[in-house]
Amino acid sequence: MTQTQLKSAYGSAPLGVKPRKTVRQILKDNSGFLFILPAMLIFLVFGLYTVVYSFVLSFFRWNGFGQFSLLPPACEDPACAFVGLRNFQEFLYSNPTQSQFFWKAFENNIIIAVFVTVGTILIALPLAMALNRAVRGQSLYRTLMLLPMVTAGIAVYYSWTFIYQPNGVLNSILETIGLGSLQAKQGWLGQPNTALLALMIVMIWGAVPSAMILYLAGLQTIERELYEAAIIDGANAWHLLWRITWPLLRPITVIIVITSLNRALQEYEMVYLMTNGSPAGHTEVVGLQIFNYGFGDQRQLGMASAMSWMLFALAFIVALVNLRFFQAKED
Amino acid sequence: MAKLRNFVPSTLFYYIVLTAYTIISIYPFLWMVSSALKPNREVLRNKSLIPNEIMFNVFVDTWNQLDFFKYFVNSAVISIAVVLGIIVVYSMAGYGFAKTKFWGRDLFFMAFLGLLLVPGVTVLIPLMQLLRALGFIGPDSTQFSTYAGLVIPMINGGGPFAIFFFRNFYNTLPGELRDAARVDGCSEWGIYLRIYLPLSAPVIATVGILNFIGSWNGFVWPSLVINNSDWFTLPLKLRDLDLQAVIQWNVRMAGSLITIVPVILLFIVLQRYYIRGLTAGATKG
Amino acid sequence: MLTRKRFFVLAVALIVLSLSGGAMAQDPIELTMWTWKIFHVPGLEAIAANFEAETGIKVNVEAYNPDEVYRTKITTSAQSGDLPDILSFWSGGQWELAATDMLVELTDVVDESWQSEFLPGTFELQSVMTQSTYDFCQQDADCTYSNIEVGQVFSVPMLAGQAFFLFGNKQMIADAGFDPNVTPATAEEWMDMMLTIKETTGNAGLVTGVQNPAVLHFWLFNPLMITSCGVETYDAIWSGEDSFTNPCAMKVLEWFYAMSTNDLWMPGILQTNIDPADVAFSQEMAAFDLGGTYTLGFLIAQGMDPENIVSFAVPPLEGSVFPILEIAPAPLIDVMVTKNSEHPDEALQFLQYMTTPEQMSVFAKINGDLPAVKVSSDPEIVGSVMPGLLNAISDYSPFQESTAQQLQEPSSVLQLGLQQFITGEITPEELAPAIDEANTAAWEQLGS
Repeated sequence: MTQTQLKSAYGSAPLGVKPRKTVRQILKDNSGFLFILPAMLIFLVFGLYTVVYSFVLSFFRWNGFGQFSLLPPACEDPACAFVGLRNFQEFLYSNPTQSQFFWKAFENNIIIAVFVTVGTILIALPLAMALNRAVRGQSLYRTLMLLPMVTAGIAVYYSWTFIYQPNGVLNSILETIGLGSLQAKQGWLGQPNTALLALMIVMIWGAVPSAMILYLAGLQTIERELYEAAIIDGANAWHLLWRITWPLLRPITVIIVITSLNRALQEYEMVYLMTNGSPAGHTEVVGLQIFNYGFGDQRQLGMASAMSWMLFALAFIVALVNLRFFQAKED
Repeated sequence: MAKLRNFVPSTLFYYIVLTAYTIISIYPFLWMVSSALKPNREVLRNKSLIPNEIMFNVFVDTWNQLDFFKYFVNSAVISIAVVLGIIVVYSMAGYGFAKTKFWGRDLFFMAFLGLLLVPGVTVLIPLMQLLRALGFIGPDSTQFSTYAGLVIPMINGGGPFAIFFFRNFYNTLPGELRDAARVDGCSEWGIYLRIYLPLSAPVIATVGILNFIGSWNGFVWPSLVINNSDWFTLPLKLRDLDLQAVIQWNVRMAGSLITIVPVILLFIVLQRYYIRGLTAGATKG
Repeated sequence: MLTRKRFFVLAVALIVLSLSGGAMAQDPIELTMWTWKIFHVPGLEAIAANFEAETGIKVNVEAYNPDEVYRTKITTSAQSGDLPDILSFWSGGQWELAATDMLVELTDVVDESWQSEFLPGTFELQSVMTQSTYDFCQQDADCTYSNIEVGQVFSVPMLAGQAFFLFGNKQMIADAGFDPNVTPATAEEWMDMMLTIKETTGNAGLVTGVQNPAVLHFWLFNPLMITSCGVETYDAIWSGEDSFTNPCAMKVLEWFYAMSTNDLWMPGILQTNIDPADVAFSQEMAAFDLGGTYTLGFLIAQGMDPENIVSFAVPPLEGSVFPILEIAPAPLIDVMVTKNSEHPDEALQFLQYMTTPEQMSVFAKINGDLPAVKVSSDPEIVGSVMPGLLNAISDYSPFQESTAQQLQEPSSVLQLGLQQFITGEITPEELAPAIDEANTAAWEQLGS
């Protein structure tokens, strides 16, 4: 078919523009959309709507009573008022007390993100290597070591709280093995110099199993010959780890890093249940502040939304940087 | 062979490391069991895992107070509905994103993944408003409508992760599979249903287990949505038990144990598939 | 002439009318009441049962917890219009509900005879919009109840109580050589007691729910400061017109600091919340427990022998303006009728019924909690805990005279600071100017 024939067949498309497809053809080309249609509907109603709602809310001051809604738009004085960027300004810089608390919590989030991620990898990788070598009993070890991921609930936090008490198990173990000087006399969750560390240990404890399983799977795909060839070339154990194992496991590491960072930024439930920010604000995190603004007795839902969007922006940047890093290494 | 062995520590060393970490992994659970068997005062004072005297009656009483079977069924219905919903909706979506082409595909995919980054606390209030506006909860709600309203946002919450896993897995399957089925006259829907879906069993197991655990342990969201104590889930019922005037650590621990044992059993039975799916979905992406 | 069609319509209308009339006659009125205190449910249900026996109106009591869930539930129910007939809410918090037109106004309903049932310091301070609360609200651009006028009433108090009570373990006190029935007259004397107890018996001095940052501020700092400074200076300091470096306030901060330098807190105090603190006291892990009117019943429920507990008000510092602290009850929980109620008259009838001394005695006997209504002090009627409580409270307290608003920002700095004394991160000399700074900034922001 020539260009002119096409034109006459499909009607009068202006010159220089590609011929228009029939509706039928367009539908057919896009029929794959039907596969995501149910997901899309749920996403639009329960995902996008609520996200847009919270975004709009971040420019308002609302105590939760009276009306604030998107459809139809409603915001009535005195329970609700439009305040523009004031929520953001207040916790970022303009209110000295609020911003001081926010940045302190933010700092803790960063500390958690870095230490929990590094700690998880430093423990999970050697364990995976050990598990990879331990052929006998592997499945029993694996099953038991996976248990922490089954229960993220209140029950496990209760247990840990007991372990950390001043007269708890951890202190008495230290005493028994002659490291009594390392004991936390006020309890591991009760001292400013140990509380955040103690929380991070529980986070790492919960994150190690899935990281370990991923590394184990990765290790099992690495050919033994690679190592043997390298040894012949005079490589030592360090070289093997650093030049072969680590680079080949990089894609897995990236997944672990992304999930771990994202979790560290959003964490609140565990902190809420275990320390609620104590002692003296040393375990305060942004997620906990959001929760308190959203549901505590000083309710300020607009502030809660504004802080959430700060966290979202940060998580977004972190994810982008990670993906860039990942792609750059792959190229 | 002999040479490689020189470079790695002895097997004994590995077993020591593994055993040590295994103890760390399960210690909090052992502690839970041990406290459930101790008298209340001893829980606070005796640091040993072995009780001075073993009391089974706390466990039995708690079991009866929790009215275990009734609330077990409630929890199970909700968790199974969430898992089924997620698998049906997002295996389809994963297939759509991996194997078909349509306008805006990558944009939609990124939109779904972006949902992962939204802090969950933020959307609780708008979700509650929405459920009431749509009539899921409110003065005329039934157990069925309440559970539907509870479950659908949980399905949505599990979505991004499930899509990611299904899409990655389908991407790893060779294209020839699809071409061959095409030649045999299979429709797109038929290819998905008869070939790809059955092959994705490990991913189904992984996504299913993770979301089952999540919805089983969930506390804040169900406590907001459920308005009738007969419709409570096990964790909510556990919390109810916990709010009596006297704090009994042994009862608390026995209740916690009863609540999580079903998940632990399920996990132990299915972990093989879980691991296969996790590695298939994550390492080949 | 009736056409067939008209006849038909009339017939249907008659049938419908008779049916619905019949249904109404058979259907007893049911009311619903919400609370967030699960352990109040048995007491409230007992009142509801009495009410049903007298009036035939059934009241269903439903509890939702924890606090966060309860607030969220009210928020969303208010938006969709399915609030229960009767709500209970934190006293003083009802203004936010009233401001958005959720509550039935009770201004003219709560007449003098009803008002006279309430303990002094409850109804007239928190359930009526007072001039000082109104003025403060008008001053604050962000106040969420600026449309409520002075004198308006939307709720009545149900439960009262007050912190500021100390509980001592008599056995431990006697073991250290003190007479357990002679309570310390000053805070200094009390601290010396704790020091001696620690030295002679090795027991820790004080436990309370320090993990909750508000506890030290409201339960211990405020009573020490208002007695030390007097109402006028206390108000001036909180209003930003005077300073926390004022010697009367510094003395309080230094007393707190000495508690930490003398190591008198129970080990692990910073990770101890309110209920666990009381449990720890009942388990003999400290000589004293700081709590309130609600604590004694809890301690007894934990299995503690009431004979082994001595209770007294927080003792003021030496040289204080008020040499003893008088404790008057403050309202804790108010009850109210919502506009969603289809039977507001019956709901109001229930409010009136439940706040009678007879019914509140029933509640008090079951819960061991102090009602906001004047009840009998006969243990037969109100249970064994109540007479002691009624004896310990008085009609007057300096807090009733205080009109100062304690803004959120300086409160946060103070609360953090009191915890930082325990961790040794700050001294009174550093903390006082820091609170002043936050206080000044907060009042300036309010004025702008």
